Amino acid sequence: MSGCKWSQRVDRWFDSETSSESSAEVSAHVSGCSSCAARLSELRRLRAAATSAVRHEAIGDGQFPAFMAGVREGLEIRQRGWGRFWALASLTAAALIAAISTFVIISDEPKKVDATVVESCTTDLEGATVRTYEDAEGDTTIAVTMSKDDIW
Amino acid sequence: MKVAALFWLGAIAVFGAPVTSPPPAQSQDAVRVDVVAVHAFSENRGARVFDKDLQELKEALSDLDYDTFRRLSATTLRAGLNEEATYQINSRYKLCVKPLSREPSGQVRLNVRVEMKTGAAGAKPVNAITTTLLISPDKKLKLRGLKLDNGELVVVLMLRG
Repeated sequence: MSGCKWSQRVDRWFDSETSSESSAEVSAHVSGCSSCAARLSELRRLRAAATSAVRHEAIGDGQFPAFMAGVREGLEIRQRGWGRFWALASLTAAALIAAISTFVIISDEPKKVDATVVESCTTDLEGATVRTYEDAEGDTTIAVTMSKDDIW
Repeated sequence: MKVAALFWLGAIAVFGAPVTSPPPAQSQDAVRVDVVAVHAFSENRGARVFDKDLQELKEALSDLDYDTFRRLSATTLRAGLNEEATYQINSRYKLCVKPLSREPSGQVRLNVRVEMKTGAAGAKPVNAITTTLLISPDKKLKLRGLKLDNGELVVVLMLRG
């Protein structure tokens, strides 16, 4: 503890809590007072030591709104990032589903075939013949022609 | 975020459903074939005369060179794959229908026979017509040229869709 009566003013001056006029007075005093010069030196040493230690910044009431605004901004930025990701993923998936659906509809849907296909056609009637033909409506006819003098 | 979640749920519902739903039972169903037997003959009329029951078949019978068309009988045959259904048209002719397969196209492969009794007593019937064909639903198949009295027997088959 300094024995000079200026010691408290020196402390305030060191903490920048004095006016500019007062600061000039304290500065002048310190240059002529060995006790206060030692006190100032001690204060500077303590400050340097405190600065080098781990700093836990306390948020004052005045800084709190700005601090919360920063937190909100950070959250919003993060949400925007995920939103973009999901939007992109959804768009990609929608395009993929549309492409697959189109492919399935075009390629896998069996085409309806209207025509009748005669694979084989015979008759066991002696002397008879058989033929097939299709009319304009797409209906198929199988006609057997029996011999005129058949015994049936 | 919520919209994306709903989208994914919808996609899973739409595309998951076919995976979990049972396969269609169509292949297990019996094949149904409508059969109409027609007696076509000529009576030297000025115009063609159709039974009132044959109005729907007028187009199908239009190429036949007869002027009178009488419906003998009609039925619907039902048969599973590789099962034969038979229908006695009259004392002389019998129709036999055997579905062989169902095609992805909707067609059915059918084996169709018309058996004809011969004049000899106790003699084995003869296959007047034997055919294997792929028939489409709602398309008509006409079997003709089978002698009957003074005209011919016409058998019209139609696969039910």
